[in-house]
Amino acid sequence: MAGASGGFLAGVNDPWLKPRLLRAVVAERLPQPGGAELPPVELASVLGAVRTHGLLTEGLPDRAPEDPKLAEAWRTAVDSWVERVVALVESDSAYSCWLGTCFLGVTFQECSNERFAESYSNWYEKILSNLQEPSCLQLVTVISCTSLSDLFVRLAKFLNLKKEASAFAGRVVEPVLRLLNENGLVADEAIDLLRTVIKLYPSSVNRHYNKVESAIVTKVMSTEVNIKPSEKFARTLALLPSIRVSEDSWSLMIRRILIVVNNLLNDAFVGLEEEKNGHDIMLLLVPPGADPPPTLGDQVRPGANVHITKKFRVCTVPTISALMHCCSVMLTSYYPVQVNVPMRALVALIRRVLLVDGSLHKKLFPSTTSLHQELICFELPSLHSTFLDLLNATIKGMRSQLLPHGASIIRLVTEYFKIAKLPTLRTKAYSILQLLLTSMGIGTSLHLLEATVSNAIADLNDDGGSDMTIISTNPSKVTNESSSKIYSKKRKQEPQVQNSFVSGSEKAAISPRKRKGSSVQIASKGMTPETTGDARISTPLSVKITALETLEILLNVGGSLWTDHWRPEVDLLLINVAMSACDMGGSYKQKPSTFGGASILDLQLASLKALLASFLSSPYARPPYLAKGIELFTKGKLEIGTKLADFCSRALLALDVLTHPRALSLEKAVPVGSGLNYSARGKTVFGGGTCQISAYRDQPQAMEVEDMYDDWLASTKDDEPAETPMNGSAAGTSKAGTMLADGSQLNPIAEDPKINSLRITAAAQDAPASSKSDVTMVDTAAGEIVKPNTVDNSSSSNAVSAPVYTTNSDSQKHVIPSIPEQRRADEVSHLENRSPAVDAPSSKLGTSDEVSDVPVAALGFHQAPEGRSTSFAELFGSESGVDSESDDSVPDIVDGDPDSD
Amino acid sequence: MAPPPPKQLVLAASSADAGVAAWDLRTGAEEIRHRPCASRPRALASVADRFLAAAQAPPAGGNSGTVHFYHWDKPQVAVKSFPAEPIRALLADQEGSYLIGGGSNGNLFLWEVASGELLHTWHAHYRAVRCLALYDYLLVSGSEDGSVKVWDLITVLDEQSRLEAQTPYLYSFNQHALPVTDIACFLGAIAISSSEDRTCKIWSLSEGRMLRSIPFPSSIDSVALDPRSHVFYAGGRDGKIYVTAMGVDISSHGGDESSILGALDDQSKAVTSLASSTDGLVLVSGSEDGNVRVWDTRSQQVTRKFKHSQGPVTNVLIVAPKRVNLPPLHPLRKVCSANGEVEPRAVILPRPENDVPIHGNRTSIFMEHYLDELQKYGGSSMLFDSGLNTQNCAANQQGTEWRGRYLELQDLFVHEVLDQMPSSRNP
Repeated sequence: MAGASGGFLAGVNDPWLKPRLLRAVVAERLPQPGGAELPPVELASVLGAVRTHGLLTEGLPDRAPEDPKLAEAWRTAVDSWVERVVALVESDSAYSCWLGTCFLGVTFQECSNERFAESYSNWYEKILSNLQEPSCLQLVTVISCTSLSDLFVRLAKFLNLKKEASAFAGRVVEPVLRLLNENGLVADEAIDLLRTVIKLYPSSVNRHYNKVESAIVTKVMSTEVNIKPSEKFARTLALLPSIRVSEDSWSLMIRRILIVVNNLLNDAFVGLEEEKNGHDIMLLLVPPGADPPPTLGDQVRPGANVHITKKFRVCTVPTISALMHCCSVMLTSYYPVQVNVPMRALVALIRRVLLVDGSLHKKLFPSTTSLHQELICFELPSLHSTFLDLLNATIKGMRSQLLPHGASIIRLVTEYFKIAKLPTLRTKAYSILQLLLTSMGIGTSLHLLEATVSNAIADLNDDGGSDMTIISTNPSKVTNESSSKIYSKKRKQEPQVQNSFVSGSEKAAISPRKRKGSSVQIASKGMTPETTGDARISTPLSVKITALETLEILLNVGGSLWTDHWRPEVDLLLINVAMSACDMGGSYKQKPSTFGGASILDLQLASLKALLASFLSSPYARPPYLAKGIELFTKGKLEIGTKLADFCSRALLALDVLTHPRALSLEKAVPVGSGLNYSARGKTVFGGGTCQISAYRDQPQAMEVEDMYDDWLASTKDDEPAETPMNGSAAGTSKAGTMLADGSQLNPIAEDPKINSLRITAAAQDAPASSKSDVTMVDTAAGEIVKPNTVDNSSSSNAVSAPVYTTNSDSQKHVIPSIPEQRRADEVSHLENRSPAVDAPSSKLGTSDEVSDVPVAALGFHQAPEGRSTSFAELFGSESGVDSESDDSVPDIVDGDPDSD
Repeated sequence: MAPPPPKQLVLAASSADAGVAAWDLRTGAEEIRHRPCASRPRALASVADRFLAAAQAPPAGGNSGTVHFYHWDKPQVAVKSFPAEPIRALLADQEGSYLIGGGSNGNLFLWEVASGELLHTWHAHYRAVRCLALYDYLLVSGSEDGSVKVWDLITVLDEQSRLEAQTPYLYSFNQHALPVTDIACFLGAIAISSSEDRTCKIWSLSEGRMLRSIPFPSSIDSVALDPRSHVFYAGGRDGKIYVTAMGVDISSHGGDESSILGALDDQSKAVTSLASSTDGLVLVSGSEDGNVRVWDTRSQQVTRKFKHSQGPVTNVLIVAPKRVNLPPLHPLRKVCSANGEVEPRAVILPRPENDVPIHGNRTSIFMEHYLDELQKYGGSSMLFDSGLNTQNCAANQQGTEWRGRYLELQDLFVHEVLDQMPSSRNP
């Protein structure tokens, strides 16, 4: 062979390369024992060479011909490497010893099985003597621990050596326990080694059980441990029950931990909760009559010598969080036998902590001081975060057994959302919602629907709906000016509608189209003047992202549940959030996000995922806003090489079934009632965006109209454009516009709502006939809205339906004789509170009914009691903004309209 | 080599006391017969494939209930329980945590398997409960009085939620005119019920309404779903198994008749029970003539026929037994324990899949990190003289510093929130 005698190699894959390289490394690059230090770059390159080329593996390629000379050469090369490394370990020089141990550790992983089995005991002794030598340099101790744990991991793969390995493991325990008391870095590695040993050879630690437990508990409860290492200690503590495997040892451990934590909380929460809370939990943990289990770490007195102001921060909270982390690990990891979990105590403890909001309990205790309260409020977020993690682990660990406690956990989380205001806590609370939804399925969504929807809407709404699309771009400025111009114009025309309150609120709602977030917030917080433009407080992206993920899961799990109450609102919200997230990509990129590195890209992805879920789980055969959604997905697909593009192409694939329905027999399972409305509307071009949602309210007749449904399907097949009007209300306006304008404007996707409204208005002029039919459609839609609302919630129906009546009664009173007189009175009173921007154009243009209808249709379904005002204002503001734009761009119509006077 | 596919057993029980027979689905050999067992329809349940539970038909004139547990490999009864009333329908949830029984007086019982505790019992129907099905934690129960009710178990198990709920059940459907014989649930919260009124009805559990009603030429005693969910099988009293489309083919504009696509027919007596395999290729039917037939659903032919006994076969199941280390089984309790006395026993079963592996390779990772650090600090020369401690200190200091920053941040937010709250109220 070419490489055998030092000649040329056959190439990089020539096996002869390896012994030669290794020989060179040993001869030229490894220092002699006691030799000078090498620069770190050089060491890194040696390490790299050994690992990339696999110099120590002694593994010949499978199909290579047997070559004893090569094997021999390689073996001697590795021999010399090992010899040198061992010599380094034994050297007196600390540096050589350190280096030798490092490379020995590498050898453990890299060398061949035969070599390892042959010499592991020798190597073990070498390293162990390092560990046992008290004068040894810290750095050497650290690397010795690390390489020993590598040795044990490798050894665990040799099943025939189990006995020896176990004996070795037992010998390590004592020196390691001694190391635990050393400073940070050493203890850190020592605990890792101990964990490895317990995990792999639990029985070997049995002899030392008590010592190990007290050493770890002392560490966990001692003051000087930092957060991160103490988590390692906690994880090791969680492993302890596996040393003596029995049903009891596990339960005993978790009960002892809970007792300690409960007692710590007793001190902490004095005056902030009911006094007997702690006692009740104790009763659950130690049933009356039973002997209390031995206290965990009873000799440790955490923070005895620390000043009271520091005590809580430096010891109580870190100890609690470490112990709770230990519980979480115990709940979620494998244990060889079935064990009992003290669920009620666990849930009670979680409830106890999460419901403390820092406010004083009615009864004041002498020991409660404002300082105490302040200290606790200071630490409360981290406590909550710890217990949310515990709750998370409980749900994961208990799986189906959570069922009997399901309702109380659901109540707890729902209540907790009122307390959780900090972004991190909110994110965690959302993740618990997600877990609950996925673990217990559709039944949970019954209970969590309201909480999820209202919280998510509140979190996502703060920067508005569709109007967000043109944030901080130049056109928005124009819009702003134009809308205020319009506004003043209208003031002249309709003085009777004016009063100061309306003008203030409407300004806030209409004009600041570029300051979406603030406008909505203002509206929801009681109509403050519009000066707060720049000081907007928006929900951090991370919270929004989890809110979107939660909505996505809710839609997946219970998307078809009680759809009337929440789907229209959520669907609208999701399309708006997705649109704004995608459009704003540029503007957000400049400023780095503050929380957890979540970026606008993540928001885009999350919003598109939620949007897809909303489409796929839609109870309607053609989900609203489908067209707009497809546009977003198609655009996203162009971002080649990103996760977004990946997801978008998958989404389009998933939507394919929706857009081109195959003749699947399951098709029939969708509400057939929708067929009626589709087929009816297929003929009126304008009705598209507006009455869609309201149409679905009428579902009881579902079963009788199957034929209509078939008709519709057939017509769709023949005539693709017929389905365009069904796509969404907000998005649908643009569609309708393009449909009408003329055949040439076939591009269904319009980037700027301004253009849309322009088209609509232009189209309206061209097609007065279709506007007629539209009006009748609106009329029926209005009738349908009224019916259910009067049954459900009369007050909201008034507020909601008023705009519709106004628009109709202004111009088309004769069309709707069926509306009761009393309602008319209502609508008059509402007129005063309404935006002139909405009814002025509608009174002028019959067609604009359909535009102003959009908020109505969407609002008709606001059933959730919370978060409604926000979206109302937002929708109202945004849509009326569209109107005013259209007016502005076609001023001649406004002037020429006789009805407005 | 892929591991051999798990052995699948066909189980069958009869209303005559002929035990539970188990045949290997592949070889056709009878594996074991658990005795004694005489079960009414829908009273045989495999508890997460770990063991078998069968509610016994009461002896003539008797009014006591019995439930038997069997281990897979022992023919005799492992544990006998005596519920408060005879159990007509028995069901276990997917993870085998709970057993749900429907009594002959219309009561429902929910037991925890691990402890045998009766978690809750409630009156559900005016007459006997005939069949049960679960979708997530929605329980669907069908009764002799023709009603189908849907229960949310989370609500059912929680006292406060029960008080808050307007009705104890989530939905109550009364469209069936005669006793409901079988219920099956499927993806998308869809349930199918069969009845003696010669119809099957498809329900949407999320919308709470009937989607379709399909008339059949005879009473239907049993339904089974194809796992792909596009068809279901309905076993009729006339001995035929009707293959029925879940929806209606759009191309055919006929009436509902068209949803019956065909029938599997082997000239048997009434088909009493059906079971479909997870891959949808095999359908097992039990008949009143005492035979168990295994069908190939593609060719629609009988591929095997097992003789169970002279009496009618009432239950068939396809299971893949998991022979795991079972903790001792507890008998099911007759009554609920007094409130709060006994904690429902939540247990963690050993599940190797959630074990966290320990990774090797740490030395080199450690070394790489370390060398990186060294390079940053400009060489190692000082490290082994006096520098070692400074190195450690630096790390420590960094830790403290980070913690400090974290606390500051937290402080900031607390203040922000506190500041905001009044400001939002009085601007």
